[in-house]
Amino acid sequence: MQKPLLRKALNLEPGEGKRAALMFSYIFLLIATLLVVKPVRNSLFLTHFGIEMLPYAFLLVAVVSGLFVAIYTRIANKIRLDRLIQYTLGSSVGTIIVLWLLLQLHYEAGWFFFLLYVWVAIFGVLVTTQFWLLANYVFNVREAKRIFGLLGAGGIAGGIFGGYFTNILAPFAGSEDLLLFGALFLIGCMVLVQFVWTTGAQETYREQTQRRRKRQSADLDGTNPMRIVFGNRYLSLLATLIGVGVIIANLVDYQYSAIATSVITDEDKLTAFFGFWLSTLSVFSLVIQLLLTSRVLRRYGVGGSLYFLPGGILVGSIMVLISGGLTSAVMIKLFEGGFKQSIHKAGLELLWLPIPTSVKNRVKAFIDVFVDNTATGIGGLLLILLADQLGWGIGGVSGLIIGLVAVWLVLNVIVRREYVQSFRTAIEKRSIRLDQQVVNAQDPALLETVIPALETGNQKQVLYALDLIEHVRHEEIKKRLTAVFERHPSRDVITRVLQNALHYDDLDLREMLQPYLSHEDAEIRVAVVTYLVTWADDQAAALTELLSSDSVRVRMAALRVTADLGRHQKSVRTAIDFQGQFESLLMLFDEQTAGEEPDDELIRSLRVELAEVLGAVNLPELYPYLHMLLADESVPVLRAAVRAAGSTQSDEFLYTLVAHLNTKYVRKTARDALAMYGEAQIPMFIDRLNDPRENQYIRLSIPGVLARIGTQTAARALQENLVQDNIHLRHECIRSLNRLRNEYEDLRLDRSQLDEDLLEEARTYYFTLEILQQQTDDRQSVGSRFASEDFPRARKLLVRALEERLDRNLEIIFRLLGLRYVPEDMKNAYMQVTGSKMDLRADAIEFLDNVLDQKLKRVVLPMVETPNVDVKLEHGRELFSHDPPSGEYCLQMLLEGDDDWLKVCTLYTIGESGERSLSPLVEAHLMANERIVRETAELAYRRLNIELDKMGA
Amino acid sequence: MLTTVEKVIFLQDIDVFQSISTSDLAYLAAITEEMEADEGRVLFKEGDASDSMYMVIEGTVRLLRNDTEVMTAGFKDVFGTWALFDDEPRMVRAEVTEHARLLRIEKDDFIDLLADHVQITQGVFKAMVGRLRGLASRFNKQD
Repeated sequence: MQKPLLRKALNLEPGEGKRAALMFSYIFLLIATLLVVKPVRNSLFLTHFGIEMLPYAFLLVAVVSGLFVAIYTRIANKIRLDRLIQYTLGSSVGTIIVLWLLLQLHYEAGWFFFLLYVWVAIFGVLVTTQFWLLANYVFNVREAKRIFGLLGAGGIAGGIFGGYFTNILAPFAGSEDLLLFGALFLIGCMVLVQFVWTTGAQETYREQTQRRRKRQSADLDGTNPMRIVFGNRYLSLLATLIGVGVIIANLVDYQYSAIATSVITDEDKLTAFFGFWLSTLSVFSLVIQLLLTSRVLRRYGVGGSLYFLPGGILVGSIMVLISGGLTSAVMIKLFEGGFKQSIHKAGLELLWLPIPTSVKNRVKAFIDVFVDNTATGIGGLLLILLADQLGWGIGGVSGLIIGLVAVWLVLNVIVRREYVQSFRTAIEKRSIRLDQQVVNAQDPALLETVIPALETGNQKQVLYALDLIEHVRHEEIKKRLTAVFERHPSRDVITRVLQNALHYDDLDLREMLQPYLSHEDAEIRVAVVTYLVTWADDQAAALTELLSSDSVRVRMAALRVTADLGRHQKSVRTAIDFQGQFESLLMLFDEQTAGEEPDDELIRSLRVELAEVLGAVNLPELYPYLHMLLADESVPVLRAAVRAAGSTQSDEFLYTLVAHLNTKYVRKTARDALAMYGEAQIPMFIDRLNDPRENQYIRLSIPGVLARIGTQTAARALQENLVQDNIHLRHECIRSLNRLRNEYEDLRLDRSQLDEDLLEEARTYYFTLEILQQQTDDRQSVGSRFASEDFPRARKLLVRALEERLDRNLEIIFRLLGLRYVPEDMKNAYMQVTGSKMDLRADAIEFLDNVLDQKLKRVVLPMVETPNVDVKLEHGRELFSHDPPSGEYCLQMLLEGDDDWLKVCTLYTIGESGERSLSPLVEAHLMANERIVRETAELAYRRLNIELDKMGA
Repeated sequence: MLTTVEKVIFLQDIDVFQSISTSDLAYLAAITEEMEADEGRVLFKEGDASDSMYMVIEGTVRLLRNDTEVMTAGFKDVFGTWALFDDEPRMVRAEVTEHARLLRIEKDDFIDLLADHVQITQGVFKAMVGRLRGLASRFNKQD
């Protein structure tokens, strides 16, 4: 669908037109009012006092605005925004009328003109600040990027109108009466605000205020805005950036006026010159606003847009420094005026977006009014000091401007970095990683926490304390270990206590451990045997004694401990006949488990132990026993045998373990076991992964094995095989790579390859969207007059399957982004762009806009930033140069694609559609490998033939 | 007999399965068994072990507790759902009142399926949580 021409030209999406028009009119009237009252104020002030008093007026503005902001922010926090704006506009109308009446009465006291000057200065900043604050509620971040440019243009147009209006009417109506037109415009603004509030801002304001109430910490309320600004790095930087800009603007203005005055001596010609360039500047600004601002913001983002103004001023100042003529003065003013109210203004407003609403409400007016006026004061003082007192000329001021611009540019870089970080923080706040808490085991305070936990804690607390003191040796801990053991005789506590007890030579627990030697829990027995053997004077003798025990359980534990010791001690390996020991254990096992009514549970648990012993002993002569256990019917036994086989790393078990990737409940253990084989088997895994004849579950499990191997080679192998024909396999490969990337931060991946994979996935996404669009559009979808009554349901199923496929595509795209950028950032961004909270979604999109490369941004952002399918399709066609496909071609593509389920849904839809011409598409799948595809093809074929018969009849 | 895709069409409207993707419903469809029952047949009695859930494709099944009718299940109605999730004995008697075609899911098959397809488990959880949320909000409104 084509966008209407005006909407396309103004870059508006459906639903935005009304809000944009109202806000455009509002800013137009606001600035027009300002351009009416400002000249009146200036002429009255200068006529009454002359130029000499003007610097004092600047200083007064700075002081009074400080006091005003303090009062205003207190009130602003308590009043709903629309009411606050209405009160401001209403009181401004009242003030104008009072001023007009006083002027009619020829009241000419000196304070009155100062008051007029200061009021207009504060009014100008206040009403525009309120406008932009409201705009932040009316439009979300993404809309703002497109529409703020248009609103800026509205302001400029209002300026041009207001200026010309004053210029034309002043000779006829008189300066003073013009004020009444200003009041009239403001009444218009009040009406518009009411419409804007009910149309676009009310709901967002309510949502954000509710969220603020829930989330904002209590200590923020009542805090002075100055403290908030200077207590927050981002806000301080923002305030400094704005302040530096204002100082430079004053210096530029001075420079421009000074050059003009020195070149044009005639008063009337000077007035004409200023008048002409003021209007031309506004027009220039408007042209930039309309043609460039939105494009610059879209292409270069907030960061890029902030360089235009300082860049222009820098060029202009260098020109002034070199030539010092009127042309260079005009140029610098043109750059300054042109960019300031257009690109720079829009970029600056966007910098506010990551700031929470509550904070923004409180500090924006402070920064806009107080910082602006203070900087104006500083600019004035600088000029008095340097130009008037020290006698610096135009060149000196240019040098100062160039120096300050350098500071400005550095600030831009820092602010841009902080801007991205602020978005990152905002979206990260969803997850707090408790596992990243760091505990210092040497901290004396640790004992104060641990001792009470050991003494009176529940089992969870005791375990936590024991984990904390795993490597800590302390008399106070030693004293409490025995009591802990007696109070919590569970596996986890006993094994940890015994581990810790081994730190102390003078803590002998052997006597109390005797009853646990034949405990039914194998891990407790192993811990007890390990403790006893470690304590024994003659370890070999102690082991031999335990290995000849009459209890099968004791022997099992002893053999496991012996095997573990044998791994590190050659003397144990050579001294113990493991094969003989195991076979004698087996005989004892048979003896003790035989009987008329065998205890199945006991036999199963002992088999599990046998498998564990076999894994620990790892003797090829005993592998046949392990093979037997690998065929056991019991899942726990099977798992233990799989683990044991993995620990042997013997080729003999490799294929059995691969086969167990297809065994229910054992897959995960099999993946872990296969990963123990390490890198050497990666080529074999890749062959199995890519073999289309291989079992689907096995193929799907292999990426998980590679992820568990966890090396650079495994990662490379996964990346090289990322593009799989089957979407489920592709998804699994990417998931595994994500896992690897999360665990190993220094993993090196081929970024250009990732970009290519991402583009390919995006191509699939946009094409799937085309197909989905075909299916949801009645005019384009297949379906003859012979369609069955089930046809709508079939089509609905196909549509749902396509939507699910799109979701999967999008997930894969974000997973690929997670390999390319910070994984956590991309995960959070994905959750928010697919979530239901509109403003969080907009934040995430803004974040992506700032983080992604230009190439990827063009592909990914259209997928998530608009719900409008037509807009997405337009982007897809532009990006991948494809035309809208025909309905039949779409079905053909689905049937030739990589997704069996989509094939099934397509075949079913064709069958129910009654479109006999599509029969050849169905026939091709009558012999499909996958049962479900074949079965549906047969069903579809039958249905089409029935319809054929009906037609024949 | 229904094909897998026809079973999926049926299953996607069952509320406890509504959050499961259609491709995963195909796995679920694969473990459903289509059965027929004549009028008067008792599918299960009060106190029987809960081992399966049923969905009605055709016909009607009456559910009774202490010989009092609780509901009559017709086209697309489901009964015995909780059998998939707990081991409590049946609380009602299910009696076919009009020759019925039914889809049946056995608990053991269902549990096996969940073990292999974590996304199906997530879908079931999502639907259950949705039900609980619905109940909670209804209580809140009453309060």
